[in-house]
Amino acid sequence: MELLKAFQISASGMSVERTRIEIVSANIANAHSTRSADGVGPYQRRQPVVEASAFDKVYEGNFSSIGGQDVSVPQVMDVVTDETPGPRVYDPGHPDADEQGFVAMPNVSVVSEMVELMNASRAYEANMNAIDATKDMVMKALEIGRG
Amino acid sequence: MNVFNPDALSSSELSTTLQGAFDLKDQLTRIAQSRPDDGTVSGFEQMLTDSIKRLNESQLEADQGVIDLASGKEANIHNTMLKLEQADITTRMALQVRSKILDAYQEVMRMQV
Repeated sequence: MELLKAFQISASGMSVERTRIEIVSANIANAHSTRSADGVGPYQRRQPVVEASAFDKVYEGNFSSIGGQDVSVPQVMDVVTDETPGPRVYDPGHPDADEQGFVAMPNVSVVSEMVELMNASRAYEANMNAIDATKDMVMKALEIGRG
Repeated sequence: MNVFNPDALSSSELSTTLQGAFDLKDQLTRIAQSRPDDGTVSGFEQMLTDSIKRLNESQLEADQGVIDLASGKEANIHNTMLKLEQADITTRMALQVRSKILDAYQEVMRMQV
């Protein structure tokens, strides 16, 4: 059914935003992790890489174009690590401090992560509104038969 | 304009008219029961069967979506909700089709013969 496709396009956007929120949450949670899992250096912030993939690559079914234009749906292709060095804080008593007494902190800026979080949740809502609009249209169309 | 007036008809004319009505009925019955030569069911019956099958599929899909969400196989709530919504809309559509068919049937049954 054609309706399913409009839903799937919005759903893919919602999935991407959900993944972004997960990554942002992990970044905020690790904003003070001075040790990474492999033991080398502090935690480094993660970033999703979103690709506009062809519709039929993500969902089954033959639906590659609307009016001759390619239909793309977003998809998280990769999660990359931000290699920029984080701030160095002077704290000689810290177990992860170097010889000069500096501790390498994660390169996570909680403020910009919060902005990213709000951004992702608003984008999720935007997709939700697109679904609502589609649903409203269908419900209105069904009212033709009434009466 | 030629107005149909039963009182003005002679018995032979009446029988011709009746015969015409019966012919029409036979024709309609043949159309209603018509099947192509390859043995497959076609037309209205096929359409009805297909749409009921689609309705059932969407219900089963919604059921599976809820099971997947509960068992943790599906991580995205919105995918399950969309499947439920899909099933809901398909059901509403089927109900509309059903009431249209019933309306048409009742209209025919009310017809004065």
